[in-house]
Amino acid sequence: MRPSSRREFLYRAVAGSTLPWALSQTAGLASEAEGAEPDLIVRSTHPLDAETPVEVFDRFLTPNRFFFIRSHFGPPALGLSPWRLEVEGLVDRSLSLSIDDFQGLEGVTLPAVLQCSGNGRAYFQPTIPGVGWERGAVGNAEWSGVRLVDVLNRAGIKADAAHVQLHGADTPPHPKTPAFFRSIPLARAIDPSTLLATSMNGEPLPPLHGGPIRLIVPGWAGNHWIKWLRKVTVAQEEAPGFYMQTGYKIPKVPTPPGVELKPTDLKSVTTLNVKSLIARPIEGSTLRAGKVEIRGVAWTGEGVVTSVEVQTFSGGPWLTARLLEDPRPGTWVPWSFDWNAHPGKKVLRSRATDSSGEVQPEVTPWNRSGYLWNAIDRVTCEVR
Amino acid sequence: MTGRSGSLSRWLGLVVGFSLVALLSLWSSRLSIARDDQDDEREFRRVEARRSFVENCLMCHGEDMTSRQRLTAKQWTAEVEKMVNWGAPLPPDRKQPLIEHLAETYPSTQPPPAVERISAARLLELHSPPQVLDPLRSANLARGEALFAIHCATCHGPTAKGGELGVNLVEKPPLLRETEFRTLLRQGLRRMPGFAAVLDDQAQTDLLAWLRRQR
Repeated sequence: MRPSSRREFLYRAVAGSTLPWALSQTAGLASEAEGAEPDLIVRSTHPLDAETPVEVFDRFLTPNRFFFIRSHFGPPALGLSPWRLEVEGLVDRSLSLSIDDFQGLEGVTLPAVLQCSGNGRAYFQPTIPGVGWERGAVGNAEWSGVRLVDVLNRAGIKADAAHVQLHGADTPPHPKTPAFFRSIPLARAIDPSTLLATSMNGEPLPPLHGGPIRLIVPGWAGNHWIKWLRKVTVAQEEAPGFYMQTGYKIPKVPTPPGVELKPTDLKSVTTLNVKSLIARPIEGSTLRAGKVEIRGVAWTGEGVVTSVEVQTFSGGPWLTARLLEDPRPGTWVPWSFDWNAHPGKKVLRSRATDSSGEVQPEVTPWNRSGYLWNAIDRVTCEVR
Repeated sequence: MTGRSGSLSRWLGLVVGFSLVALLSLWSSRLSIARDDQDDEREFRRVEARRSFVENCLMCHGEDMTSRQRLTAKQWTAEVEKMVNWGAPLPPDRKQPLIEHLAETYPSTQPPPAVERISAARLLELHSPPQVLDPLRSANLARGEALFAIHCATCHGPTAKGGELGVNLVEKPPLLRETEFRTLLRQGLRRMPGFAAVLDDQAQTDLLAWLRRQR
């Protein structure tokens, strides 16, 4: 990696515990590059939706080239004109910022989990239309940039502001197709962890992942992490339109299929729920009997993961896995379990609990859009 | 001696036998014509529905966005109606046959499709933006604007942000891939005609330059 004083400056702003772990993981990946790399799973060719193979989740940071890719309408053509971020609406002064203008603001780097609200949609029964993500529409990266609140304060937030509307260049193909236009409440916008990111895992934010600027909203689902951010409008109201008023809603109370719900029965998908994934062994693999390390990650939306338990055979006891780091809000914690594997067909399951006392369920309650699947993870393998 | 009655009954037997055979083969050939007609009808409907799909859906998204779904007839109906509301130019009389075709071909009772994979390297290769853009210095923007209004706006809208039959072109990646853009203009694609006879290289340059300026 090319050293740069700017990157070093950003790293110095990070809490000490992140740095050695992140660098050691990144260094490990460089040597792995020579071997066969796992492939991503294509869920849609155009617009491109591609899922990360779960074996990549055996490490803290998800490398950019494996990070899942998702948008509603595909990336814009970049480079036709210099990128600018407009700030307008209920502000004392409108701003038109270039990326270079961020230099005057405090740089922040933090690790955060990005998960698509629809990750796991394929597992809901009955089947739900939409992108059929399974386990890999999620990843953890180190995001660098500036705080949204610092940019908003430079513009001066007016007293009657209540929401921040977000315009990204994920633009629809037809005038009748609704734009992917959303907003976040002001309280979330001014949270110090909400970032305007320009770097991902130490590299300039790649175009496929929303570069040059995207929003980072740790603990909240991916529908808020607007890519290719162009304009931020401070307002009294939420963003109007389909993708805020109709899309990304779940029932306030779990409701089975077939029941008609009124708008007042619904709430927006915001905070992620508690979830864990088994990175290895991978589904359908054959292993040698004896000592096997089961590896995975676990995270939650608000608070932290407090424990991960593993079950190594159907009906067996739930045993505590080792958390490999102190869990931190907004990011995930890698975990490990030393399994003494005996011959036979095995069903491995992992179950996380968080600081609110929430536990992964056997089956996530059905919702018509297939959001927030977080059922106990499961991998079948054969031990010989 | 067989006598006249013997040969008569044999002759009658032959006539009845032959008639029965003729009737049976007539009946079965009518049945098989009817079956062929049914097959033809089914095949015709399938080809028509497939054409509806290609002409009205693939302008905005890839085939696998549809073919990977496994939905009930009710769900297919809702999806197609949503797409029509969002701009799919599907003629009203083609809607129901398309829904039936999709519900028949991709029913909720069928297992999900095989997983399709791509290497990280190949993905980056396909989707990385080009390194260098030709500044198109010979382009005449005013001419490009005029050419767009004459040849493209009917389908792509007056501001190139999408219209009845053509997608939004503004700040979209094909504008960065000059060779592909020119090929597309010359040859057309699905419902878009080829303009080779009408747009020479300079006209293509003018159009591309104007399109690249739109925001």
